This record gives sequence, structure tokens and C-alpha cells, in this order.
Amino acid sequence: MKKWMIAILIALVIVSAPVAIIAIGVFATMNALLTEDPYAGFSLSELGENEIPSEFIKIYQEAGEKYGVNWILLAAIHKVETNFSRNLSVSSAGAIGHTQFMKCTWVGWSYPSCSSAPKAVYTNPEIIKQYGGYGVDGNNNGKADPYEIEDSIHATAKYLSANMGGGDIRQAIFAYNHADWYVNEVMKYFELYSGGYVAVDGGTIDIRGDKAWIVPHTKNVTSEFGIRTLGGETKMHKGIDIAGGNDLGKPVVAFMDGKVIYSQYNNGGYGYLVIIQHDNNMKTYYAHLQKRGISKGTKVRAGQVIGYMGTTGRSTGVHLHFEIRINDQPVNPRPYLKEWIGE
Amino acid sequence: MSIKQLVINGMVGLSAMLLIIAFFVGNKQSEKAKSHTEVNQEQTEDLQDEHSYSDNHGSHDSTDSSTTTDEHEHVHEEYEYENPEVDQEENPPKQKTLADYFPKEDLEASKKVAESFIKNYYPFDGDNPVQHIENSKQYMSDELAKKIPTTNIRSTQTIHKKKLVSLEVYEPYNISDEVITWNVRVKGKVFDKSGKQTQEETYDYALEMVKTENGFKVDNFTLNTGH
Repeated sequence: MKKWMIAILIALVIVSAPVAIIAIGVFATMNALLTEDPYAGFSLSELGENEIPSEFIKIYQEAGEKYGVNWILLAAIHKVETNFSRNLSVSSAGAIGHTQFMKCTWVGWSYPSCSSAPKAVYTNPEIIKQYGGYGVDGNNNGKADPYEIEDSIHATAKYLSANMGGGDIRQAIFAYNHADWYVNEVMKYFELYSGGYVAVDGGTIDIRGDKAWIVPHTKNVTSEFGIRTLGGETKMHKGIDIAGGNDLGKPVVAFMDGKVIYSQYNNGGYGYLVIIQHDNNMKTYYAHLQKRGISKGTKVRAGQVIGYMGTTGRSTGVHLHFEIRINDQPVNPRPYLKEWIGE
Repeated sequence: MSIKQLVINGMVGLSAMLLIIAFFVGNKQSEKAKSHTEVNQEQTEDLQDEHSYSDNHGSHDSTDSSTTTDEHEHVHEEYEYENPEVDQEENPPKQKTLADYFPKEDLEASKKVAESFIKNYYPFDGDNPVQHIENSKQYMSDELAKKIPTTNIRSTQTIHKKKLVSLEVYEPYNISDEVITWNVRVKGKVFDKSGKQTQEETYDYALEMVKTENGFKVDNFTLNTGH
């Protein structure tokens, strides 16, 4: 009887095991599919693909996933700190490694004379744990060494995660280095590498040479210049439309230096419209603004705020309609904006 | 325990396991469906608001008060004018300027302080990373001086020194009738740790001024945030 029982038990296990494995597999797959990817909207821009060394990307991604930090932000910090590890000398302040940690932050500020701790001490994971440091053994080789790229990137992710109260990215970057220019520089690369298609926050005014990107918080082009079909009718779209979500009231800035020659409600459908006259018979148009833009006659600089995004005039949804006209003829603005959105 | 009972218990156990898995998967799906419904409802409300606005857009002096939307497919119909400048008003109403709210002497005095502040604050030396803060403290209000951190500031390998090339103080678009605000456009050169110039940069600082018994001071400022 006992033998029969064992045989039936084994048979039951053999029959039920594959069913259970399949069921668990289905459950795990469904769970993964249904769980939101926190970085679903972030993708690497063309510039990011060209500039970020490919050998680091997997390390950023693993560290980012482990500590809940966007991996492109880790790449931006790595760029600003050591230009992707091309310069690993000790900073004037004594910061070391691939992402320039102060020894005390790495091993823990409560470690006695932390700034002069020997390498055997500040790379010891047990000591780091004991003194509350941010050093991490990212490559699991028994050492937490700021000169090992995995350890350094994981420690940066850990530090940012610990200082990102309420998801405030700027606050976390500021904690890394208490300088406003540092935050600006890291945010600039973060937005450049992620294409700026998702509004990270209020956005950073980006002035390059004599030009500026016109909508600081997003680079998402929703409609291109050229022929398009609306409601079955084919029409010419004389500019490009830009919107990134939550756009109402966000600043719009001048593309280049110039003089405002028109700033009022336009009865032809443009809503509140600003037109700026630039050199070389170029005019730029900023349409559907939330309210009257900067006054006619004002001399503006590239990157200067001239109005706020809205949906006035013939518009269904908050966006900026941007036109460039040369000798009063509309031209495709994209080539003029290629530094930011490609050709 | 009889064989029959063992088999029945085994089947019951297996069924219970499948039931639990089905419950979790079903629950997850219904949560997802619910959140989609809520998003769709919000978007529908947004579009309704926008349509009702466009129906009444003849009263165009009111500002756009429609709610925000995440909808990316924004479109506009064909514009009526080939050249929108044809309806140019001869004398369109001007925006208020700082001069409408503040005395000329206050504007001149605060502008000078804004310029002096940035002249001292912008340059950066990685060998003495708080020097620019010390140099500009005389232009800060007590509150701002307390807020500015003077620890954990360091240069990076790529940004070690910054030198001011030029600056220009100008009036911002969005002014207040309570506080004098100035924008300062800065052009500067950036050097890495080896002393090599790595870039030329243009910064836009937005400054809030306050009048104290010692004259005007900078009470707050932001960098490149579009104010």
C-alpha cells in the first residue's frame, strides 16, 4: 500500500509540476507586461547614442534599475564629472574616481579622519556599511573601489536615489555638488541625451552660439512643416508644432536676437502671436500663446522669454506653432533647429 | 489517508493555486483598465474645455484658461491669412514695464546691484570653489546669504574655471508689481582642469531684488529657468 501511495504521489508531482511552472511563467509574464516601466518615455537621443561610450550603457542601466534612477542621468553625471572617465585625476577638492566621490562620502563621514582613509579602508564594504558611506561593490569582487567603473556608477545611483526626495531630480543633483552651474550642466546633458522628448521638469534654457531652443521644457515635435491632411482636406502646414504634455503656461523663448514687430491677437487663426524680425530678412512666428506676448518694439535676445504656451486661435490643444519665414516665404524650420531635433 | 483522499487533496491544492494566480492577474488587469478609463475621461474633459473655448474665442482679450492636457496630437486648422501681419494694430497695448510700478532711481540702483552681483558670482575657480560666493555676499540679502551653501562645492574634471566675458542686464517679460526683477545675460568661457578652454557658454540669471536699509540686495535668483 505504501509503495502505491508513493507511486501516485510521484505521478501527481510529475503531472502538476509542468502545470505549475507554466502557470507561474504566465503569471510572471503578465505581471511584467502590466507593470509600468518608470522610464518608458525616456529614450536615448541621436546625440546620446553618439556621445555615450557603449561599454558603459549596461552598467548605467543595471545601476539605474537597482536604485530607481534614470540611467541617462547617470551618463550625464559621468560626462560632466570626468568626461566619461577620460580624466581620472584627483580634483582640487580631493574627489576621486570615475564619478568623483569625496572619500568621506564614499566611506562614511563618521569614519575617523575619513578624508585621509587608506585605500584598504575606504574600499572595504564592511567598513563602508558600518560608517554609512555610499561606496558600493557594484561588480561583486569584494571591494568597493571608486576607481572601478561598476562600483563608481552604482555608488552614484545610490547617492542620487537617497537624495531624490519626492522625485526631485534637481535636488538630487544639487546634493551631489552644491553648485547651480553643476545642476544646469548635468540637466543640459540629461535633456540632450534623452532627446528632451519628455519634460523632465521646467526645462533648461539652451543657448548655443547665436541661437536658442524655443520651448525649454520639451523638444517633442507633434507636426512637421509641409503638406498634411486634416479632415480629409490636404493643406500646407507652414511651420512645426511643438508640445510635450502639461504645456499650458510654459515659457516660449526667442530663437535668435531680433526685434519684436508684431505682438497681438491675430484674427486669422494664429491666436496670440509674436513675430520677431531678425537679420538677413528672417522672421520667426510664435503662435497660439496663452496671452499677449512681449511688447512690439522690444529688442530680444536668443533664449529670452517672449510668451507662454497656450491654445488661443484656431487650435485644439496646447502647443506652439513655430514658423520661420525668409523674405516673407515660409521655410521648413527643422534645418534651422537641427542642433536640437536633428534634420 | 486513503489514495482517493490523497488524489482529491492534490487536485484541490492545484486548483487553489491556479485560482490564486488567476485572482492576481485579473486584479492587475482591472486596475490597468480603470486607470486607462480615468485618463480617457480626463482627456475628454480637456478637449471639451478646449472646444468650448474655441467656440467663444471672439472675446480674445481674456487669457487662455483651458486645462492642461497630455494629448500630443495637437492640430490647428488652416489659417485665414497668408500673411498674418495684415491685421496689425497701429498701437497695440503695451505690456506693463518695471517703470510703471517702481521709481526710476530704484530701478537704476537695483540694476547696478544686479550687475555687480553677477560680475562677482559667475566667475568660478575650482582651486577656491567658494570664493565667488564670498565675493558676492555683499550684494545678497541676509536671507539669501544664509541659504547659499558654502560646503560640498567642487569643480569637476571638465569644469574647473569659468571666466566672465560679458554681461547685460535686461527687463524680463514676466514682471511683478511687488518685486523688482532683472534678468542678466552672461557670456563666459569654461576651462577644464588642465587649463584648456572647453566651451563658451551663455547663461541667463533671473534675479529678485529687495530694498534694505543698506540699499538694494539680491534676494533670490535662478539660472536658465525661463523666468
